[in-house]
Amino acid sequence: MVKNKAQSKKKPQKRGIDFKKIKRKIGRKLPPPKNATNTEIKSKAIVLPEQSIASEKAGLAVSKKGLTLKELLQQTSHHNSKVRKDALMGIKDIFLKHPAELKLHKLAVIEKLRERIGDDDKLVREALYQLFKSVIFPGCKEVNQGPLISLMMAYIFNAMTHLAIDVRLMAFKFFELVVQYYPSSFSLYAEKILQNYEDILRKNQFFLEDKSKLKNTLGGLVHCLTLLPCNERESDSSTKNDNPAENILHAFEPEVSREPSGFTEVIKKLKDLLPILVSCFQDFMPMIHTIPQLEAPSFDCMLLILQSIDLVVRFLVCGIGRSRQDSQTLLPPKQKPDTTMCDQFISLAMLKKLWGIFPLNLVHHPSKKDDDRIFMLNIVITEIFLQLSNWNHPSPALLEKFLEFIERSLSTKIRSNKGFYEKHLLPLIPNIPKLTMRISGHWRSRILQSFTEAFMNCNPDSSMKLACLSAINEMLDPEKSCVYMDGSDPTILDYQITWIRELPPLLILLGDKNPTCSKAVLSLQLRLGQASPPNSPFSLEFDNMQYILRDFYSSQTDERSVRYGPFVRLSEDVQEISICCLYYFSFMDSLLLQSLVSCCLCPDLEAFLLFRILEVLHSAYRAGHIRVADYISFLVTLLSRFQVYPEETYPIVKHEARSNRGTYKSVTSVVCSCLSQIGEAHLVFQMLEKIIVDQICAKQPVDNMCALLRLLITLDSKPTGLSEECIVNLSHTLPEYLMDINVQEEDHESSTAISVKRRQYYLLPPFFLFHRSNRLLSLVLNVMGSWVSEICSLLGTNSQTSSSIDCSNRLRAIISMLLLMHEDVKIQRILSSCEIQIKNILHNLSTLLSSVEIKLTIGERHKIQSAHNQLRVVTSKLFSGAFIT
Amino acid sequence: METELVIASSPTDAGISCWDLHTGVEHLRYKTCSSPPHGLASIAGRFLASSQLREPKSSSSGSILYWSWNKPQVEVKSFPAEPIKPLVSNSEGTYIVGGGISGDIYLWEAATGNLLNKWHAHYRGVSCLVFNDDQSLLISGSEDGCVRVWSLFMIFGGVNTEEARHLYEYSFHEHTLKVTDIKIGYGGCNAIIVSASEDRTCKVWSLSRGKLLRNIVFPSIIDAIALDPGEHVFYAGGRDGKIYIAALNAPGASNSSYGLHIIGSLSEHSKAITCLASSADGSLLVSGSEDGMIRVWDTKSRNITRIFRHAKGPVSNVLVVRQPELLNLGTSINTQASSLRGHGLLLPPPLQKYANSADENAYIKAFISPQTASNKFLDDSYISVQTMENLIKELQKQGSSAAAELDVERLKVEQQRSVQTIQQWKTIYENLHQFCVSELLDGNHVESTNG
Repeated sequence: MVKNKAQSKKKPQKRGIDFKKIKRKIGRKLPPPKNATNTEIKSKAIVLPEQSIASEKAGLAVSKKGLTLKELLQQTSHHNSKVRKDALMGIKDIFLKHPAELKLHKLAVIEKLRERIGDDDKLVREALYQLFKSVIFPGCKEVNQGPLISLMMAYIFNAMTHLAIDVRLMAFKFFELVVQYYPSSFSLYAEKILQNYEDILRKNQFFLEDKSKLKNTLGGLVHCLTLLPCNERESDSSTKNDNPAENILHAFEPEVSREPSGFTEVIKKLKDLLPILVSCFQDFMPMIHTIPQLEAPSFDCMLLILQSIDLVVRFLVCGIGRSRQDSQTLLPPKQKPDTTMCDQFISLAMLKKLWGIFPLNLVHHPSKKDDDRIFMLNIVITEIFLQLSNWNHPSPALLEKFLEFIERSLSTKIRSNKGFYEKHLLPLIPNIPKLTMRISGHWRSRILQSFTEAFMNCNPDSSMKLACLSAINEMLDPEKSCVYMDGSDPTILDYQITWIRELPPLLILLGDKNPTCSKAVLSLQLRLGQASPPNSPFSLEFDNMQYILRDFYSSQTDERSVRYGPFVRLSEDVQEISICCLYYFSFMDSLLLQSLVSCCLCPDLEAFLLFRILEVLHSAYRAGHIRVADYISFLVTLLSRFQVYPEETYPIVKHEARSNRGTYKSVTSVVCSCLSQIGEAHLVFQMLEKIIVDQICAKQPVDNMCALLRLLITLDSKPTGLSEECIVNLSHTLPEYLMDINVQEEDHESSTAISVKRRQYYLLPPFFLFHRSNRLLSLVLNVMGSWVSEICSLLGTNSQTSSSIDCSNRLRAIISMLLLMHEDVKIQRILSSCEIQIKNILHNLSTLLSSVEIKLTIGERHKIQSAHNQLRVVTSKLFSGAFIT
Repeated sequence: METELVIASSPTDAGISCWDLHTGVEHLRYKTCSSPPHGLASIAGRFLASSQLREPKSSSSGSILYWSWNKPQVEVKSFPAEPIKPLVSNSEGTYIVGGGISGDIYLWEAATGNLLNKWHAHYRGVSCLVFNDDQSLLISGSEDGCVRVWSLFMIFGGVNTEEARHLYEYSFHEHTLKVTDIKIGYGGCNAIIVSASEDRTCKVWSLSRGKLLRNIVFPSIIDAIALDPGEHVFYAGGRDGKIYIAALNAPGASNSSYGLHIIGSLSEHSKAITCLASSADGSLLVSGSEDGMIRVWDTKSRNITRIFRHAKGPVSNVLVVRQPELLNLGTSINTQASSLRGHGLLLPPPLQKYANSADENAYIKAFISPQTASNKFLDDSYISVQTMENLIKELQKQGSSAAAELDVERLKVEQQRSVQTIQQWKTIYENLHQFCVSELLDGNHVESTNG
């Protein structure tokens, strides 16, 4: 409807336009419409007076010669090689001065520069190489690599097939550079690269003249091959190394396929590469046999060739292992991937030629240096052989040849440069466990013998020792090896026992200088303790270790002095492992416990470790590994010998102003709970009563006394179980202890809250004892009373004034102690039963004060007087109260 | 909310006590039980079982006791070949698994008591055992610090047992001292395992990847752990009497005073915590302590809501179980006493000391059924292969006697039929005879009339 209306409205208008009359006049121009745009263009020349070169380049970066980047890039394709080279230098110059330029024009620059990879002139290529190496790659490290690599690679490949051999070699050098900075690029182009290496190595006749070039090429090849994922152990360790603490538990992991997909092609190429490498190596053979000396470059080449063979073999062998593993775990046996198996399978025959020339020998009288070099080569060949023979069964003759070499090289005792041999024997060691598992008969024992010799002879700090330890670990751990506890072959057992016996002396020899090695030894020891079945020869050996390990903790040099072993100085995690080992001894010698306790008493030992030792020993005791008597004497010795350093007595220098009183308090409570857990309370008490009381009577420092008293009251029950003899003994020492507390409090200002709290801590155990045994209290009061009368008589007679102050101090201490007892509600109740003793004391005091001839200053006298009065008031109240009730 | 029970036992001979978690009412106290840690188990809610600590003198064999829910006395005693410490059963109560002090693990069939399998699992004594949530894996911890994961398929000689060098799926060695407790989360094979050890650490493992995920160092030895059902945190009861709360999800941010990953603690100055259990919904945490008290904590407010007193000595085990249907509370005992007699007899026979001969065990194959959510007790429907075999034999025997019976029946019927024919013949003869006689008489009569 609306539309219709709109149409109907428009129509009359249109009609009006249609029928409008247009009058045309011929010969006349129409006037321009009013809204016409003027399209005329007018221009004027602008004349500039001068154009300077400097101002044009004002905003741009220039090289030393004043050229811009654009100009330089143009010059790189100049027909004159010198100009090209200078241009490259200029570019380097610019980028060094203005790193931002590189970021901006990165791709453009590379696009231009890559053309020069295949340059005919050697100097230009060299300059380009330097440019990439020193400036461009380091500068582009963090940026997106994809386009950069693909830009480069096309020209590198091009250059690799260049007619001139020098260009080709340079291309390999470029590629090596790319791989160095972008390792992932190898896996992308592996197939093509390997093909190129293959091609160039075929033409080895070129190289025999110029060995340094060959060396460069081979170096690149080795570098590339190391990038192959070849070592199982490495990949394991890399996953282990990432800190477990940082993972989020339930998070998803990015699904990254570890292995690049095109493996099969690479494998094929590598297999093609192998014979070429071998023949390349063989080309050197005549030289060895003819010339008297092995010069460095050819030796380097030989070594590099062997290394690349080794790497290829490793990769292939690892591939076999991987595919076998896969087929074992994931797929049912029917679906085993036979294709990959065949593909990766590599037989010993492939390297037959290599085996033929083993062992290498110089015909002419070799110098020492040459001997070493030949040895190195032989070791690498052996390594290759060992890698391969894990999956193949070599013929006995071949195997024997290698075994002989291994035996000889391992067991050679005295060598001029031990370090050199150890360094090169190192890669052989990890193969020993597998090797011994495979061979049998007399060869097994011969190899083990030589291995044992190598283990014993090598320097304790060397990495050889570590490698040997890990090999031993593999041969002892029942989960890793099959030979473990193989009763059929007693020779292995003999060697295993020899190794085990070697461990503790090694540990002591290592001292605290080499924590990693100590850790390895201790871990091995721990594993042995965990995994040795009871009553087997292994557990026997493990138990016997403790006789030597004693010195690891501490050793008694003579009566009083103790020499601490390496344990105290090692790092915390090593200490922790060694403490854990203690648990696994099926019994613990009392001498070991002795050395442990003196170790615990070492002031340098961390408190944390002290508690760990206590914990582990307690679990060991509960598991029945320690005799009761030994355990008790360990704990009691710890309590009574512990030296407490209060803050003020030792200067800052020695103990960092840190009192260990707090530690001692917690040690006391731990020991108390340990001892109360060892059995039924009253039996334990009967056993310990005498020991503890004896310790108490043997004049200890206040802190230790307090701890022992605490131990006593924890074990004791409400009506005391102490025997009469013990009570009498205690009554002789307790007054001294009470006085000591007071004296200690007088030393520093006694009013502070901390000291009040501490006094409470000291007083609690004797008060508990008094509460449980009234007789003890009365005996103690008797002793105090006799002291008072003694002092009074002493003061009464003519004596020196110096002692009189001392005497008055003692008197006051006794009185204040009595007052303190009175403050305690429970003791107050008991005190009322000891009326006679207190009255006796009071009486003595009053006679003393009333007598005239005592030699006391007025001040002293006043102090005693006031204390006396206080006591009298309190006691009179007490006794009157007692009479009432 | 379903009622849940707290069950506790101790190493001293203090019996097993039993309380209602939410109301605090105490139920029966089951007598004569001195169980080691992890030695108490409720077998699918049907009955209670506990391994026993014994005097070292008589340690030649161990002992496992059963209690039914309604009687305080021990009902069934069994004596395995060596002392058993941890004891566990799968959620359906089909199997009972015990770990011996020599490191062997014993697996019994609960219903018959047959020892199905026994294998050397550890170098030293087994200290704890736990099943994963789908009951297909058994995780064991040992005194040598080793944690191992066993698949029941492997144990029962499933696929490629011969090929494998070892029975276990994983063996974790990272603990240096005795493993004190193990708990496993939900999620089948993707679950996490948390293990505590005397080396003062708790470690979190991934079951699927078989590697260590997290290592948490505590200020004291941890003897017990409990997992929060949501697996955000876990609780670790220490020897210093504190229950530490350790984070599982958050990445390690250490600003607490206790150490990395530990976000707090519950404490009430008690003695060492020996065991922990959490209620099904995770809102309550039950802790047993060395001082003989059992404390119930509210995990949200971190306060104690209830304290039960078990005994003077330490508590060694605390379990939280759903209230079994068999348990009768208080007053109803008398009224239902008669009906309970029957249930009392349902307890299975004692566990065997030694395994059966090989041919008898030939039937045993791993079988893991889908989980049933109901709490119904399955005694009635549960029949072992052997019993079925016996039944079939019996049936066959019965069949033969029935056949004889059928024969007799058939003969009887035949005899009856022949008797009937005889009868028929007899009547026919009678009739004929009568007819003949009458005929004769009639003839005579006719003759006489004629003649």
